Amino acid sequence: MDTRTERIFLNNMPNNKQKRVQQYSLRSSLLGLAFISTCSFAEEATTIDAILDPTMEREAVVEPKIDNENIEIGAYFGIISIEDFGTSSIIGAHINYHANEDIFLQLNLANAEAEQSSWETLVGAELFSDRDFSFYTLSAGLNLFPGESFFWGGAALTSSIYTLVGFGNTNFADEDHFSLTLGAGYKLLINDWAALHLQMNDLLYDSDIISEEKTTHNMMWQLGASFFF
Amino acid sequence: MHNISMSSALLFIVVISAAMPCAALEWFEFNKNKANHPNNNTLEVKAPYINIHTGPGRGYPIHHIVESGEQIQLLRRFNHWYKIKDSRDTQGWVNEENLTSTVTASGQPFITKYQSEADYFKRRWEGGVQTGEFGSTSAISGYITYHFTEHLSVETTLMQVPGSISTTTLLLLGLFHQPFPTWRVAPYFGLGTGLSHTETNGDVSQTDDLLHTGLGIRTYFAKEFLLRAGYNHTIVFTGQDENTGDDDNREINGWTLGLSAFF
Repeated sequence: MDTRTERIFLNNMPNNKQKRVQQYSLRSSLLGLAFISTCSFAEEATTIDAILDPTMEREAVVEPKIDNENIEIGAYFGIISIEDFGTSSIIGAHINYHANEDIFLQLNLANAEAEQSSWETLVGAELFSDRDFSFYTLSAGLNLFPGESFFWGGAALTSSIYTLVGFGNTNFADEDHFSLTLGAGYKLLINDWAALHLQMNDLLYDSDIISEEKTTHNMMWQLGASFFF
Repeated sequence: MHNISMSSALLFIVVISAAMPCAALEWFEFNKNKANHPNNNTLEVKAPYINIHTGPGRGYPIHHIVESGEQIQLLRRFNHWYKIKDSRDTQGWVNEENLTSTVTASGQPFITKYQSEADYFKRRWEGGVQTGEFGSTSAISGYITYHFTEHLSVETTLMQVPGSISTTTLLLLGLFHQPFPTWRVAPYFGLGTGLSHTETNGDVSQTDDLLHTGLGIRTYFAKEFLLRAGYNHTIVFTGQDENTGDDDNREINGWTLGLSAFF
């Protein structure tokens, strides 16, 4: 009878037993390899690798050299209707992070100058002197309808219709208001690194500037350009 | 008051000095890997064919295919999509999953790194937006987390609590622990320090130290996104009451709900 060591290392095997024991030996070696690699004893693993002599080469991971252009920075101008305070022009900037083809995160900053309310116009006095209307929003966007837009001569440009929902802070009449923003937009890619945006947004917040506290809707249209980095 | 500032500063230094070598090592490894594969922008298609889309998304139409054996050149990348050019100068976008069956000029398989649920458990960086309440006032915040290990992470948060009378901005730095990182809904808890800056309408402002504790849960949402919800307890060291001399530290409870991307 062969000993355990003889089984593993095939020492002095009688010829008639060789075949059967070889199978055992392979199984034991594989078990051994699994055990040793788990324990990460590199030296012993090399010995067993030599016994098994694998013909298959290990595959090296080749990572892409190309930078990922997931950051989009843009600026826009437009018109905003500030509830009770007329319509003014608005300018703003945004930075988007596109983690995948569907969802993006956005930081948006904008500024406008409020007109006079009808009460102020009638009375001829100002409710407050600081007419600055500025806000920022942190939003999540969803590319709802990716597709193509066709213009002159059959040329097709890549486009997308997206929606936005987010939260932020609106500073108006020297007061801060927690705000909710809802929006939808159309993005047209004019080439690989530049896009045009047409967007409609509603900025909602509670305010008691004019009367008792109420929820105000501040609708705006924006037209802008953005670049991918 | 002075002691708190000192301990805040000390905790900050400890956390930062612990984070620096890890970040440096990773950056070095990344560049080393880059240097080992100087040119892998030309690939050979091994699959029977791959689809070429007009834009970087599955919703954009397929206007071409590239057959097996053809060479393609990588031009640009937008999250999971590569812009390619084939031998006939046709350009279009290919999903990275299609590129796993391509090889480089040296015959090595081209493997792109894309995020999946498996990567969620190996994430290093995490950043996102949150909303919730601080006291009984609505708040907005943004945060960045660096995970040293799957258990331990350091997190910095910028939070704003807008109000018509006064607005508070908080800068928080904390150390967080995830006892069960592999759970589908993984709990976390932590402790941190920071600053609270309150600006009142009459242009009066005040800055105080604070301590905060938090606990919450995280869960994988989709591709590179996760959702998290947390409950926080913050102590703002507003100092001693001028009349009584007693501590009048403000204790504030709050909750947050957030959507975050991970890398």
